[in-house]
Amino acid sequence: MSSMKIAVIGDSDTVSGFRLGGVTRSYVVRVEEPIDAVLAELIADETVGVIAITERVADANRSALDEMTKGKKAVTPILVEISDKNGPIIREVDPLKALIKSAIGVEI
Amino acid sequence: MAEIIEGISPTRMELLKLGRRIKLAVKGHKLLKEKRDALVSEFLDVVQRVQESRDKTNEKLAEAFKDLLMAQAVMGSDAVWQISQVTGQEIKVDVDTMNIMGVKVPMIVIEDVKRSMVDRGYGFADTSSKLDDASRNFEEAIGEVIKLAEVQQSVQSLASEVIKTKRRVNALEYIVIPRLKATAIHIRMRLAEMERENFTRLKKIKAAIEAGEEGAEAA
Repeated sequence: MSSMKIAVIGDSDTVSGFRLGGVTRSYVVRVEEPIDAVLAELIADETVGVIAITERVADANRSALDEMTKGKKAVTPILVEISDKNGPIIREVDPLKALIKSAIGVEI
Repeated sequence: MAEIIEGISPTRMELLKLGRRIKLAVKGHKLLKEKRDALVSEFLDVVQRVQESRDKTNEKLAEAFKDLLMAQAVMGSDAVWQISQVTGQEIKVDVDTMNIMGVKVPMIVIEDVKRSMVDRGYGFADTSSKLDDASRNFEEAIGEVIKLAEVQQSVQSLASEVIKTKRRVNALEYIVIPRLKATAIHIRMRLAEMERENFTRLKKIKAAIEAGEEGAEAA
């Protein structure tokens, strides 16, 4: 597979930053807006390799994102959550730690 | 004691077949256990990388956002937004898949995130140097985000494979093998019981025949 694009979903500051950095597939969304339509479009597009999405938007659309990761057959597009201009969200339960626990059964 | 498998007739043929099945299950169990251990060690390795990559990405992004804020302060956020809509050369990535013990993990090759000033696609005359800083930092941050995407996807694929393998190992260890063994024991006991039954039956018949012969002699 070759030459895939990156897409970004987030607030206007994140999007303008990523556009300055050379990402052209960008979608400005407000936190309370559902992103199902945008996601469906990006998944259908085979030239999109990585989707960057801000944590705040991702949190508001958790169920849609989970469904997407479960349903996808190919490796791409890879979904990655990024922090926005307010910095990363400090979580009580780190999703990575939760994943480790469910996979191995112990916390490290 | 594990329950026995229903519907297997207690014959020597079935016992032999069961013996073969037990052998196969034990072999499979051993192999799967090895696979699980290897996957777990790989998984922990990647987890380490995710943590490092995530910290680095957050750091880079924070830096980039700070520069963006400065650029917005100098030029006004509308102007920055306008310029960001101008598309320069686009970043592209090559996504390949690699196979780790049957798990497909992505391998992303970045075709050089950093661009020259000209490739960014906006003019220099009416833009602040802060905007250039922001652009450069975002380019670097995007590079980190892509690396993070790669390891994060790997960690998720590996985790689901670990869970699947673990479930198989446990099913073999705690259900399939005990059931097979219990059934084998059951058949062995039934066969022994049938042998004893037969033995007594023969004894009885013999006694009956002898009694009949004695009666004939006496007559």
